[in-house]
Amino acid sequence: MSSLLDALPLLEVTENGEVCAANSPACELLNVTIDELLGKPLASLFAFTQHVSYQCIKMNESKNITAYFKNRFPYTLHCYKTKPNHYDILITCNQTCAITPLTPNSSYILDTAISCAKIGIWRVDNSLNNVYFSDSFYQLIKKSPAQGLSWDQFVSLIHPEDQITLKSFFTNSIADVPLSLEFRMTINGHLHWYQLLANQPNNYKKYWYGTLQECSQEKQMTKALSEANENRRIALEAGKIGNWSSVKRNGHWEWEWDKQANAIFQMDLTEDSKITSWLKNIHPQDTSNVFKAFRHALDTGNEFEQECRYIQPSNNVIHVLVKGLVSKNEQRESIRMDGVVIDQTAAYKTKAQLQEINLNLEEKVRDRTTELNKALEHAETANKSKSDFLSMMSHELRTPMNVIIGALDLLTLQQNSFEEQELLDTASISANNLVSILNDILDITKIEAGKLELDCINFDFSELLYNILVVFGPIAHSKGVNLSVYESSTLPLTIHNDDNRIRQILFNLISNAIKFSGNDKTHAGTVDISVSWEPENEIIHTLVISVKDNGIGIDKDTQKKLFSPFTQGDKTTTRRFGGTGLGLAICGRLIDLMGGQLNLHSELNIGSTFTVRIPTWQFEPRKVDTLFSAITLICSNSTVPNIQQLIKIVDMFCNEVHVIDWDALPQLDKLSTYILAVDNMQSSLQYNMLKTIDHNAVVLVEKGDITQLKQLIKDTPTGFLSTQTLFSIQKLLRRLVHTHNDSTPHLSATDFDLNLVCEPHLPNQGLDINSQLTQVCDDSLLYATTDSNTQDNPTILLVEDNPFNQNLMTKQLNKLGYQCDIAENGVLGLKQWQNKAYTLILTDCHMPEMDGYEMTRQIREIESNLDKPHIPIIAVTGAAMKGDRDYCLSKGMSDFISKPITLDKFKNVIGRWYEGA
Amino acid sequence: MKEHEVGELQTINQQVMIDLIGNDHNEIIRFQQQFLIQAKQSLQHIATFYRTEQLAKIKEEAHFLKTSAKAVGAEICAHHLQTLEDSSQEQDKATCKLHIQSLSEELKRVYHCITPNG
Repeated sequence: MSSLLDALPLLEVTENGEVCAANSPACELLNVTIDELLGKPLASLFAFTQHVSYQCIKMNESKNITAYFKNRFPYTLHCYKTKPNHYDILITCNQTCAITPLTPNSSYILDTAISCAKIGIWRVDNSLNNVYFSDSFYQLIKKSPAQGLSWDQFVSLIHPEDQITLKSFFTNSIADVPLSLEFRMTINGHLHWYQLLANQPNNYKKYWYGTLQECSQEKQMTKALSEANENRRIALEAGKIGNWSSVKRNGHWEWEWDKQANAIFQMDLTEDSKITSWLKNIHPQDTSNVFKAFRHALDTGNEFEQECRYIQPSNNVIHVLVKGLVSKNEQRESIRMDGVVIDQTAAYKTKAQLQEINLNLEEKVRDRTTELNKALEHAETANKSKSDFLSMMSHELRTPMNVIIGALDLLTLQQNSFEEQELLDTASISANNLVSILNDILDITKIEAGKLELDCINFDFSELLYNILVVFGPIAHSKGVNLSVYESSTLPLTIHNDDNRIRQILFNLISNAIKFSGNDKTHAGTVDISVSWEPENEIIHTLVISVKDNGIGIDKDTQKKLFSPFTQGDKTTTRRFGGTGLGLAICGRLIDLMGGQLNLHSELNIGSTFTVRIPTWQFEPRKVDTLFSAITLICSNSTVPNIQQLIKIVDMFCNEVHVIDWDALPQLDKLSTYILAVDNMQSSLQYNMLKTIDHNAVVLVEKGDITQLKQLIKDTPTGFLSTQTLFSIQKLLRRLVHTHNDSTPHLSATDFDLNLVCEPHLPNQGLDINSQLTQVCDDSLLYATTDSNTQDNPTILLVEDNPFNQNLMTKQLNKLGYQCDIAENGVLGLKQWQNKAYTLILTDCHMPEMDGYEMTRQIREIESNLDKPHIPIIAVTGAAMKGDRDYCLSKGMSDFISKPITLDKFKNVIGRWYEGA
Repeated sequence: MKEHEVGELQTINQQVMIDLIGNDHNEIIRFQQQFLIQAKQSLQHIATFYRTEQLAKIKEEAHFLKTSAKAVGAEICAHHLQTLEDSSQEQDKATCKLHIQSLSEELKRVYHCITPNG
């Protein structure tokens, strides 16, 4: 029997309801330790389904009571009073029956429904000690039912602020009024909202019964909605946007608008017919449009949008935009319209102000533009006046300056003392420099005025270059600068361009190069000119000229402004080297006019290279001109660049060029032809060899004084080696041919025999003969006259077609101390007169192409048109008939002189006109 | 030029060149040689023009050479050239022929006169 009792789960409870003993089966059944049971009130361990008290049990009596252990597990407590003040309780479990009922009863259905609806059930007595939480309650607050929970433990879980409310939850209750409380609980770091509902049955006020539901989502939605509403309210208020609506009721449209809309309209909301009052306040000019738009929207269901002016009761006019959307019923009838009204007054005011500002700005811009146009006009007028003044002054100054130069030249011809001659030279140089500056000013003025035009002709660039080198050779020599030229053998015979302007460009670049080239004790100044001919395509070739010096160089900043007028390297440059700074500006603009380029590469203290590129469309290739079958070049070193260049050029005119060292040739063979490259006049070998020359050599000197050489070898073609061009070499070789022919004319009396037997008339034969004649003359007699063509400062122009007379008169003029340029007919004479300032013209009357009369007529006509003083033109003619003089004078000529002209006659006539000019 | 003066004309009047360029013997010889070269070519042209009956061109060529002849003092040559110029202007071919032949002969004399070894 005792073993049976040991096997049954038993508790022993004192009279005041505390557990005083428990056996192992009881602990196992309740799944607790004995310590969890001993001393604990039974009511704290079990929740009783009904108000029962086992204390009323009498001795040896028993009573069965249903209770829930830890408010969760249903048990039946069989209570017995076997001792005074003590009760024995047998515990039997009826959980199986509760969890898996065979037939659901209403209580089970209710429990399941509540659980599925996630509603927690709770009950607590008024003392808050006896508490029951359903499983769903535990699930809602994320707790395990196995843990159990007292009311105080539950309260401690909720948000501290809500604990206070909860604590007063029951005390402040009103009878028969259900209690409701929302509280927060933080579970696993997340805030949850719950709603607690509670009530007390009327018939049993000892317990509170209630439910628990989570309302986090509702709270979040409410909060979001609230925030959205608040944002919308703020936005509408900030944007001065009001809401309005119109609903059709009983066939009438009833209008309403919110507070914000009324803040715009400022209407008395108590007025019955709001729409009438509203329409009444629309600006009279806008009322009709607004009304029509409303009507149209309501009739058609289209969107309503209208801007209008609204007059507030305070007579303040505002600009509003009213927009609305129409809603329709199932019958497609418009039943309501909802919209907004936007106060755009500020925007309109800003727009109006902007328009006003724009108008003001436009007016200011117009005024300013007018002022600028006037200023521009004044500036252009001033600039034109300046240019006209410069041009006029330069021209007016140039004329007397030329007279001064002419007078100085005449004075130079007199017998002067050394001091007088020095002064005259200084004055002459200064006067020429001044004229040069005046010419530059005239040029830049013309260029800037767009009046400069190119005057293109066919010319031999090599000849032009040589003529420039003839001028600059002595200058470079006097400065100790080595001037060298390297020409491409492909350079054409003639190119079509403005020869005067190209000459001007080269004068400038070479002059600058010599001026700025380095020449001190450490290294000699060098200026290298190279010319090449580059084909661009089948039509265009480019003449490339580069002028390189080893001078002071130009820094990068100065290079940028170097081609601007009146700009030099710096002020120091101006002080040290002089100049106006116009030269490169003119060069740049002239090359622009030619469609070319002027490039500069320079390094400070290293030197500068100016490269000119001139495109050329028309040119005549150089023809093969074999002057000698073989020629011998005697030199010291055939590998130096100057000699290599010479060999290349000479090879163009000779079938064979033999190069021999001075040492290898003891004596010149008179039957051979030579080019002697003299590099050391002090060498006895070279000196003795030069003495043996007899019309069979050309002598080229590397450097030094050529005067001594000329005294040694009279009538022998000579020149500087480093400045020879294609043209000059060809000329020297031709002269060598001519000299050779002159010395041995090979004429005989039979040359003057005749064959006058008539031949059938050949119409073109005469022309051919003329051509032959010209050719023969060119080949045999023109050379001496060509020499005259290259005089440095000729002031007389001789127009004469007969080479013999050209030679003769040139010789005569030279004897009289004059120098002259030669033109072979009137056409060329006219052109040369236009290109150069001459003091006097001597002209034959009968010439091919254009005779002297016609040339005179045209010169006089041009002079009259340009208001220029008449140049003296003296007719020099073989005619000596009576009346010829008058005829010449009638044609505009100034004087008449018949051939042959004796020196005395020449001197008288020229002296009279030259000095009078 | 008057008829009686023709007889006074010289094949080469040396004084003419001296008057023109001074007494520079080498220079004078040089000019005389140049004249001969020019005269040789001009005479050939004149002969060709004659054969092809281009009398106007004979006038031009004669005028061309005449000034050179005068300059070197070839006075008779210059005379023949002047008469040739006149006759060619008058299109008188027969007279032209006579003057051309005379000119040819005179130029030979000038050649001998100028070239000592000629």
